[in-house]
Amino acid sequence: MNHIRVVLADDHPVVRAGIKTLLGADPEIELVGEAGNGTDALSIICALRPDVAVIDVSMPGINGLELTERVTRECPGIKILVLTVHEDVAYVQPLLQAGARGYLLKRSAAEDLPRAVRAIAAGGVYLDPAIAGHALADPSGAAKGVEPGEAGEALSPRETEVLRLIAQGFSNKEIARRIDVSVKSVETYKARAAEKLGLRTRSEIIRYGASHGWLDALTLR
Amino acid sequence: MIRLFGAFRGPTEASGVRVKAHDPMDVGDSDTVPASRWSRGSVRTFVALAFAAAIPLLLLSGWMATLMAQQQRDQTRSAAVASASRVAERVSSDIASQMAALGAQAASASLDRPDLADFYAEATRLKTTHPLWETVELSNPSGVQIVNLLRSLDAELGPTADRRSFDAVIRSERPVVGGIGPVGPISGQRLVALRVPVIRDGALRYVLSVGLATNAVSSILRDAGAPEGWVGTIVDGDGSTIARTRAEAEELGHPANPALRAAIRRAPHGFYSGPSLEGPDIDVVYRTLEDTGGWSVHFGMPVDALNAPVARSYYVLAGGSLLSFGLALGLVGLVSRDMAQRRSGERARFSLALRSSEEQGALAVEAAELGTLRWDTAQERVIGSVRAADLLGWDTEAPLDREIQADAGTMLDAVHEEDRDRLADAVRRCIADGMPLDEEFRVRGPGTHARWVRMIGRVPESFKAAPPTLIYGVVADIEPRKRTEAERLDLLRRLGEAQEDEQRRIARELHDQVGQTVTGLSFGLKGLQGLLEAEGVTGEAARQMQWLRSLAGEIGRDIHRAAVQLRPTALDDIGLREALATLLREWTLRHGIPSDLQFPGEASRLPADIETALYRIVQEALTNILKHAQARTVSVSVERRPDEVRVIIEDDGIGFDAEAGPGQVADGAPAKPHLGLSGIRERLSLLRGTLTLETAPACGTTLFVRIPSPPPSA
Repeated sequence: MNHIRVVLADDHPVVRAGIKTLLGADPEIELVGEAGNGTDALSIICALRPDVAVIDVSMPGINGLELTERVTRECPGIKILVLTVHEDVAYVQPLLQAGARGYLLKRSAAEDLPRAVRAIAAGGVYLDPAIAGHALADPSGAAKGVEPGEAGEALSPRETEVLRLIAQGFSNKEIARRIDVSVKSVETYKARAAEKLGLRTRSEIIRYGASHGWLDALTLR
Repeated sequence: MIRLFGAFRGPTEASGVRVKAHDPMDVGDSDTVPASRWSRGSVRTFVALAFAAAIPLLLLSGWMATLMAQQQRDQTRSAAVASASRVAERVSSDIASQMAALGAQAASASLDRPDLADFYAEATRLKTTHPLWETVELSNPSGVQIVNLLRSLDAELGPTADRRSFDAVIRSERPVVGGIGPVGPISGQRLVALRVPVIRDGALRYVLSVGLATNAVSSILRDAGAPEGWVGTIVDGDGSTIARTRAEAEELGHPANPALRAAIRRAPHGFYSGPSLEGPDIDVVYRTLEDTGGWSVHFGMPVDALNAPVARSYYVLAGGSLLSFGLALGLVGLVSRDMAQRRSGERARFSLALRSSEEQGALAVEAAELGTLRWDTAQERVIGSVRAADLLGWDTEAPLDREIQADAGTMLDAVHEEDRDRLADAVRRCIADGMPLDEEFRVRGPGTHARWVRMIGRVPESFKAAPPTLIYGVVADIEPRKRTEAERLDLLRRLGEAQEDEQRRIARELHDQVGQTVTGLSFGLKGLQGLLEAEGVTGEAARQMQWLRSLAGEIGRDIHRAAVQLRPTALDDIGLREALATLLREWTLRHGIPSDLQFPGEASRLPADIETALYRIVQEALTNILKHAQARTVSVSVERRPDEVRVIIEDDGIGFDAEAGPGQVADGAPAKPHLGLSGIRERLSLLRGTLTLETAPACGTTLFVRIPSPPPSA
C-alpha cells in the first residue's frame, strides 16, 4: 500500500490534534511528522521529505509564505498544501507563486483536507472552493484581456497628450495648466480619446499607457 | 489774538486745577503745571495785548495830528489869501477913488484958461478932504512944476520928482499910478504919485499929480488888517516896497527880493516862497492890484512859523511811528517767545507722548517676547533688536538696548535650508506687491536643534509711495507652538498606531487563537460525526451533528471577516498591493460596483505607516463613493514615484459642485462628501501628504493623494 506521507506544521495544538485525528482516520494517508513552528517545520520537512507538507500560513518563526518559498527552494519536489484561516485572496496568489500546490481554508478542512491531500499528492492543484472564484475571476471585468486602442480610431496629438498625462497621474487641472487649455477642454479631450479607444476608467487608461511605455519615464526618473 | 485770549484762560485753569488738586483721580498733565508759569505768561500776554492795541492808536493819532496841522496851515494860508484880496481891494478902491477925485479935478474949469490961483484954491480944498494926500502938483508937459500945494503959488518949483510916472502919462495920456518916487526936492520925502493928464482940446496941457505919503498907503494896509503873524507888503510895479507892516522905515523904496519880482511877473496872484528881507525863508501870498500900475499886495510868513504845527505833527507822527515800531518789535518778541514756549511745551508733550507710546510698544513687544527688525532690501541689511538677533540665531555679542545689524545673506544663512528660499520669496513678494509678510521658518540654533520662528512684517505706510525697500517686522518664537503641534501630531500618530496595533492584535487573536480553536472544534465535530456514523447512528442525532458542524464553519467565517475588517493581516504579511486588490475585490463582490486597481511603477513595499494610511484612505474613499457617488465603476491607481507615492481614486458617479458648500450635489440631494474627506486629510496630515479633489456635477469625483516617501534605502 502506497501511503501518502504527510508532514503537518501548525502552531496551534488543538488544530494539530484535530488534523491528526482526521488524517489518521484516512487509510491512504500516513502522518509522518508534525511541527509547532516554522523553523521546526522546515527542518522536519527537509529531513523526512514527505509527499505532502500541510502548513499553516500564520506561524511563529518562519511564516507560511516564507516556509513555502524555502521548502520549494531547498527541498524541491515536496508538494505543499497551505492550510489557513485566511479567506483573504491576497494570500493565495503569493503562496501559489511561492510554490504551494494547494490552498485550503481551515473551516473547510474538516471536510476537504483528505481530498485536498490526495489531489495534490496526485500531482494536481487544489484551491478551496470558497476562494477559487475570487482567485481566478477578476471582478473588475475590465481587465479581461481587453486589447484596446489599435482597433479604434486614431487619436489627435492633443488627445494623445491628454491621455498620456492622465496615465501619468496628473489631475485635469494640472493638465490644463501644462498644455495651456481650459479644464473643460481637458475633459473633452479625455472623453473623446477614451471613447475612441474604448477605455472607461482611469485604470484602463493607465494600463493602456503602461503598454505604450508612457510610464517608463516616470519610474526611471 | 485768539491764542492770546486763550492764554488768558490760563490762570483760571490753573486756579481750577488748584481747586481740584486734591482729587486723587485727576492725574492729567494740567495739575503738574506750576501756577507761577501761568501768571508770568499772562503778564507777558497782557503787555503784548497793550502793545498791539497801542500801535494803531499811536499811528492814527500821529496821522490825525498831521492832517489837522496841514489843515490848519491851509486855513492860515487861505486867511492870508483872503486878507491879501481884501487889502488889494481896499487899496485898489482907495487909489481908484483918489484917481477919480483927481480926474474930476483935472476936468476943473480952473485949468481951462488956466486960472492957477483958482486951481490952487480948489486943490487945497480937495487936499483937505483927502488926508492921505501929501501934496497936489500941476506940471506942464515938459515936467516943470507949475503948482505945488506945498509951496505958495508963486514959488519957483523945479522939475517934478517922479519922472518915470510923469513920462508914462505924457506917453499914454491916461491916468497913471506911479511907484514910490525918489525923495522929492520940495516934499523932502518919497511920495507915491498919482497922475492924470489934463487934456484940453485934444492936447495935453498939464499933468495933475497927487503925492501920496507912503505912510498913507501903510495906513491903508494896516486898516485892511494883516492876519496874525503875517507881514504885509505893498510893492509897486517896479518891485519897490511902498508899504510894509513891519520895518517899513528901512525897507521903504528898496527893491523887493527877486523871488517876489519873479512871482509878480509870473502871475497876477498866487504863492511863492523865498528868502525874506529879514533873513528866514518865508511863504508869501500875493495879489496884484488892478489899475494901480502894477502894485501888488504881499502877505508873508516865515516858512518855519507857517509849517511849525505841521512840522510838529510830523515829529509826532515820526515819534509815534518809531514808538509803534518799537512796540511792534516788542510784540514780535513777546509773541515769538510765547510761541517758542508753546512749541517747546508741545514738543515736550509730544516727545513725552511718543516716549510713552514707544515705551508701551516696547513693553508689549517685550511682554510678547517679540523681536523687532527692519529689513532693508536695497542695502541687503537687516537691523534687529537683541531679541530678534537672538531669535534669528545671529552670532553676535552686543550690549542690551542696542540694535544689531546683520547682512541679509548672513541672516538667510541662519535659516534652515528647507525654509530659506521660501522666506526669501516671501520677502520679495512683500516688497513687490506690498502684501503683508507672514512666514514661519526654522532657524539653526546653537546646536543641531532648529528653532521655529514666525516673522510678520509689512512695508511701512509712509514708504508705499516710493518703490519700497524696507520691511518692518517682528519675530516671534513659535517653538512652543510648533512643539505643541508636533506633539499633537505625534500623539495623533501614536493614537492611530495604537489603534492599528490594537486592531491588529485583536485580528491576530481572532485568527490565531479563536479561529484555530474553532478550527479544532470543527475537526472534533467531524471526528464525532465519523464515530456516530460508524455506530450507525442516523436521524435526529446525525442532523444535529451536521448542524453543529455548519455552525462551527460559520463561526470561523465570521471570525475571519471580523478580523479582516479590523485589520487585514495581508497588509502586514504580504503588502499593500494585495491587500488593496482584496479590498477592491471584496467590495465589488459585496456592492456590485466594478472596480479596477493599477499599480504602475515600482512594486517595492512602502513604509508600514504609509501603507496602512493608504489602505485606510482607499477604504474611506470607497465608503464615500458607496454613500454619495452612485458610481458605476471605481478605479484606483497607486503609483510609486522616486520621492513620493501617488494614489488616484476615481469614480464616474454624480460628483458634486466643489465650489458650492459641502452637502450639496447636483440634484440637490443631501450629501456630505467632505465629511469623509476630513478623515483622509487627518491621516495625510500625519504623513505631510496632500489631497486634491477634482469633481464637477455629473462628472464623477477624483481624489489625488500624494504622500512624500523617500526611496527605499535598499
